Amino acid sequence: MSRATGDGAKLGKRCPNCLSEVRPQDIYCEVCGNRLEGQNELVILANMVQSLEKENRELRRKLWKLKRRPSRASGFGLSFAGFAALASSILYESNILAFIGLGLTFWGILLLYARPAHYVRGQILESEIRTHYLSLRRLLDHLGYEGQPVYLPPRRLEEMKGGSIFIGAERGKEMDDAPISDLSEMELFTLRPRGVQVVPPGLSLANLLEEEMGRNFSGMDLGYIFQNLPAVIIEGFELADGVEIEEDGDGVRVKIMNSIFEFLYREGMDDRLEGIGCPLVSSIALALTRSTGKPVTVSETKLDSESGTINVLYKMTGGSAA
Amino acid sequence: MRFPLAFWDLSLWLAVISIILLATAELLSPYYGRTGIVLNKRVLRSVSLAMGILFLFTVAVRVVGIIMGS
Repeated sequence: MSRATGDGAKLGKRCPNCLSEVRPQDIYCEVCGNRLEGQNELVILANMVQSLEKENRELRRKLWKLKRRPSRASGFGLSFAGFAALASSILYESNILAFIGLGLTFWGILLLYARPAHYVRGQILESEIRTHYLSLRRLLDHLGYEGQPVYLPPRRLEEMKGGSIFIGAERGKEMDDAPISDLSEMELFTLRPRGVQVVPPGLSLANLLEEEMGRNFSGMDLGYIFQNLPAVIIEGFELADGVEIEEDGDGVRVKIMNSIFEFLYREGMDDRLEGIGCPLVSSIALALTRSTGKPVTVSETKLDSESGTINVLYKMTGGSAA
Repeated sequence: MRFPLAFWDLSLWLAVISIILLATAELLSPYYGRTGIVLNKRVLRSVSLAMGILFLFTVAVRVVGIIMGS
């Protein structure tokens, strides 16, 4: 039990047993109840070093486990041993050797064949994405455009795998002047309405999602997307731990749990970039705009930093792509 | 010198392997499992299905053999 009195500041002294911080006047540790008197700083430091070393070993072990991959060598090794066992089974006419040989050969070939896709370290991915958003922000800063980004559906058949983001010069006047059918996807700067068209950061990802689903988004209704898109994002590409998509009035609400692009929201984005969203949010916006043929805006994005959940509200505006 | 396994031994082996692989492919999860080994889950599933189909083929051969024999 602690006999400490008062609320004096903890001055960095630690319990030698559990390493929790204690006040200078404490005689017993509040956490583990260990008696603090008589312990010198050296013992405390030694314990702290031991604890840090243990943590270091644990982290190294975790890193080693994460880095471990079924190598080609192990695949070839198993296959070779399997073939040798099969050959021996024929030579000695042994059933057991034959089963062993079959098993080893099978697993060897499986390891060679079922090796995972080429993985890239997350830091590299993050740095590449940061650069893309930085250049986008610089462009918008330079132009001084303040409009809400609007995802536009493909306007022609040959642009089926396309889609663009229109960012108006003035906020609130994005699509007032002219219908979007007047805009060509190839135009970078547009005069009516005045603004700029950029390539969505999630364009390639949206096309990959389409390939994985085996159909074009333009041929899917919203119900089909709500039902099947989360599975592709979670199971197919492992982009997030969970995705929930549901209708919300005249919009669509999406919850993304532990996305690999969460870091962008943690680092903070300005309003315009938040309206574009991370590549995953952008690809979902493209899916919605291709499916409905209507312009889509990312009207609200909230990150729950504790649970790592990104809540996104997409709004479909009344305009038609036709 | 001859290969010691008969057709039915291979059929049994295929059945066992396909069950093991199907169960593995379904239980593997990148988030909830502690697999320690990284495999392409989709490939694993397709291989397990292929093994299952091969086993069913051996069963079909057996059924045809029984019908023709009777």
